[in-house]
Amino acid sequence: MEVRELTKVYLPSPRWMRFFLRTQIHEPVRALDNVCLRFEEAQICVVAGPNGAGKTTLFRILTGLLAPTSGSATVLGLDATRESPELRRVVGFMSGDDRSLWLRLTCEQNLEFRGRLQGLRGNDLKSRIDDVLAAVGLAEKGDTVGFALSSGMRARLQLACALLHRPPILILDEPTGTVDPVGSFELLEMIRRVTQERRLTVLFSTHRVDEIEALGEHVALLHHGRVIHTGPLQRLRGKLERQMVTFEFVDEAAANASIARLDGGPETEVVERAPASFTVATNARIGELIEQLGETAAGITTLNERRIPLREVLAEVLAEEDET
Amino acid sequence: MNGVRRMWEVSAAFVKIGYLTTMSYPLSFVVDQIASLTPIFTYYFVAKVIRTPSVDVGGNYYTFVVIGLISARLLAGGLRGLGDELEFAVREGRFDSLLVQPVPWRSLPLGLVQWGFIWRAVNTVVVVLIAIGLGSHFRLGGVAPALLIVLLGTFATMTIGNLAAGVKLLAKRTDPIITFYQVAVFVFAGVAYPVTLLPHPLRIVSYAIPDTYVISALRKLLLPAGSALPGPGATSVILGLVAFNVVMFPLSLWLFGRTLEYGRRTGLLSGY
Repeated sequence: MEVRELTKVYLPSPRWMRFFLRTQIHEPVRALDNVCLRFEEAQICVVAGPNGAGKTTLFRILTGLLAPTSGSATVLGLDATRESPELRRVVGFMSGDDRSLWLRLTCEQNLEFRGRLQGLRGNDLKSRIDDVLAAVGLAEKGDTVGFALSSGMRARLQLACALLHRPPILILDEPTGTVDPVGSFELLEMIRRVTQERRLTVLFSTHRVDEIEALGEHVALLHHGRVIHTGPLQRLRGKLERQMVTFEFVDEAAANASIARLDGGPETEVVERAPASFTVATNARIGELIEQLGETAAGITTLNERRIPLREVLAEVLAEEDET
Repeated sequence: MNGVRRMWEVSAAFVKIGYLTTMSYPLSFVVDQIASLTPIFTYYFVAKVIRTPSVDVGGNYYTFVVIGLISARLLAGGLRGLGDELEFAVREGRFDSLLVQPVPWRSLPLGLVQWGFIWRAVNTVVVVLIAIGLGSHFRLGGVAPALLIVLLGTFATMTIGNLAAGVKLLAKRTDPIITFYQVAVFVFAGVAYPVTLLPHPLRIVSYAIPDTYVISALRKLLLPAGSALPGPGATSVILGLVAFNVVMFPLSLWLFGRTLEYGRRTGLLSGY
């Protein structure tokens, strides 16, 4: 799956249309700006970014619901703009909005409707319904109506709908949008398991930090329609994150002696100070710091290393991007 | 052949989901049906007031108006069906999930309106039976061609409905074509009175509306003394509707598809 120089600009409605519907925008909005991405097979790729980053626009293009202004998106060699009907056969789509289900109908009836639209029938359809309900842990809920399901179960039913025609690719647009943290964790685990068992390629959009962290092997970070990072989350951390190390000493004199040796180095900066302790932000390894301290290290009573939360890392990356 | 089978499967899926959804709101269902019967009873009493009409109504004003009412109702199904279903799907948040299914977008109009047609047909049978019970007389020999005309007429109004649904898809709440059309049908198509009562210049509007021809032909076929009524006969109406549908129906589906494409380009598809 590949996206090349993809740009989407939403334009204000033409004047003739404003007679029917007032335009919601008055200036062109560049939702995607020259986006280039490549997603490998049988992987979960997280498309992350704050609200308005362009995640949903990207997914709508990849599912054929939206045409790009320029550039191209191909899914299994199918052009998302020109071959939309064929593309919809190989993609399973799930949104975070559970209104896409018929909540007055049972799980099986919802799946049967989707299956019939997909051209499935008879015993094949029945066995697939049983299969996907079991895969998402709803085997006992086939006769339960949507309204009687929790939000987490509804999300799982939506996942079952997306899996029914056995697509090789799943596109999940903020699938945990209405789910509580525990349900969200369960859904992520389920997606991870199903992906492995069925060797699926999954695109998963989210703005939730815990989800980015949980699925962060392959991350594309979008901001204002541009890609500002692709690759493992760890690399993003490594690029920005300076670990915080707090040293506590036997007395103030020992702390002063040590601080003189560390402060001002190219990779280390003292960010907090107390009489018998200090905290540095550093790119150096702990061993390197101890080495720099030399014999003053003997006065250390406690050493505490703290990683900067991902939330702060992302905020810093996005702020840097805004400045440039 | 595969295309027809696919269309049938899609339609069957929508019919079943329509049936299940309708039946999950029993009170609403019953009240709707009672409401749809109201005009039949209202005009029964109006017909008692007008015992001797001043113009030719084919012998029995009550039967005359019953034919007008059921025709207008069936044809309105073709007109409103798709637009209403699309608006419902968008408002309920299901439109995107329908569009991402591996179904040709141009087959969606037929699928979406099927349940509405079936239900209107059943409801019409009930209306006719009640009307017979209240004293209406229909010519049985005219029933078969009348059904064909209703079918062709429904396709004709569906053509207009497809165009209107396209406008609704982009304009969301406004469906000016349907609103104007329904006003025009009520006033100009001769639902409750013969179009010959209208001043000459206004009859031009009447003859621009497919409903006028359908209602006129049905009256000629079904009223015991209807053959003498003015207006085109069943054969010419059937030929006219066939010609209209052959040209306009595929064109309306094509235009609907173009509207979807336009919505896809502009991002207007599923907003509300």
